[in-house]
Amino acid sequence: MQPLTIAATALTPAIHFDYGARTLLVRGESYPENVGAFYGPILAALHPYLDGAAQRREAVRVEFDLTYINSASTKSFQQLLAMLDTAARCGACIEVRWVVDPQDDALTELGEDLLCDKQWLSHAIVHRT
Amino acid sequence: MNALAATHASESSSALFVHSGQLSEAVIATTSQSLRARLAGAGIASDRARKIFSSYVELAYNILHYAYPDSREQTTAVRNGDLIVNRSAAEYSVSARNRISLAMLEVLTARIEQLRSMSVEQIRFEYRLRLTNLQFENEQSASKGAGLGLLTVARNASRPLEYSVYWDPADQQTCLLSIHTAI
Repeated sequence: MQPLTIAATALTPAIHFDYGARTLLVRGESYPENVGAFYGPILAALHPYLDGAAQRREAVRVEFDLTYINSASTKSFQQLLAMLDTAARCGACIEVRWVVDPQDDALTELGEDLLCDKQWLSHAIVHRT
Repeated sequence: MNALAATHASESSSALFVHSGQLSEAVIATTSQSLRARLAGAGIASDRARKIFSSYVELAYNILHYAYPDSREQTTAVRNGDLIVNRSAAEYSVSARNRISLAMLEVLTARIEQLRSMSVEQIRFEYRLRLTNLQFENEQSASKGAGLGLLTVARNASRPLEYSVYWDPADQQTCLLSIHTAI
């Protein structure tokens, strides 16, 4: 599969899904007006890859390196993490790194809240260096 | 700056940031970046600056989504509002003022009253509950963030949200709503 690469804008994060290297990266800020229009195609593109990764029992590393997420965007991150957790339940070995500024309580708590009910993937809150 | 913003700004001599006029996604992008630069320049502690930024963005989108004319009826209409970040001796505040239909006023003020009645722990609990339930929502759902916007503003706040309503007796359809949050 060709990598999915989307450059960051003021309102949307950079996306770099390198399927060959089995690494998925989301980096930047997220507060677009139409969250579904941005994340819908990304989730749709990721779905078949994760199905295959689960069947092949592949290890996939996922990194979220965000500096701001508005309330409307949290729905898409919840959906993305739920999709990753499903892939892990179905056989993929998913490792999620939620990278935050150590001073950023809001994003740290958001990561904890989003990840606390994900039972199948492995995850860590990592301080940005 | 229009008359509304001028009135508001004059209430305090320490307006840190003011936007008055049209709002769109592009305007929110530009003004929020300007605000962030202003917050950094003012030497505000990073956690507080993040909360001010977050409440500004949530209240700006609140205007975009709920200001008159209702977006359910007129999706392409231009929406206007005033956003003011103020600094006083003890705290920072973000105020958002816009015209709103009476039907939407009822929805938003009921929500703010509900948030005002909740403790910090209850706000945190509801936030976590809504976050967990988000994954089960339909992608085409009309809800814009499931009401998480004002909840996020309440989470950032150092005391309960406040609001004021300004009526014009000659106007039977709309009024002005001002939402005020201290950080």
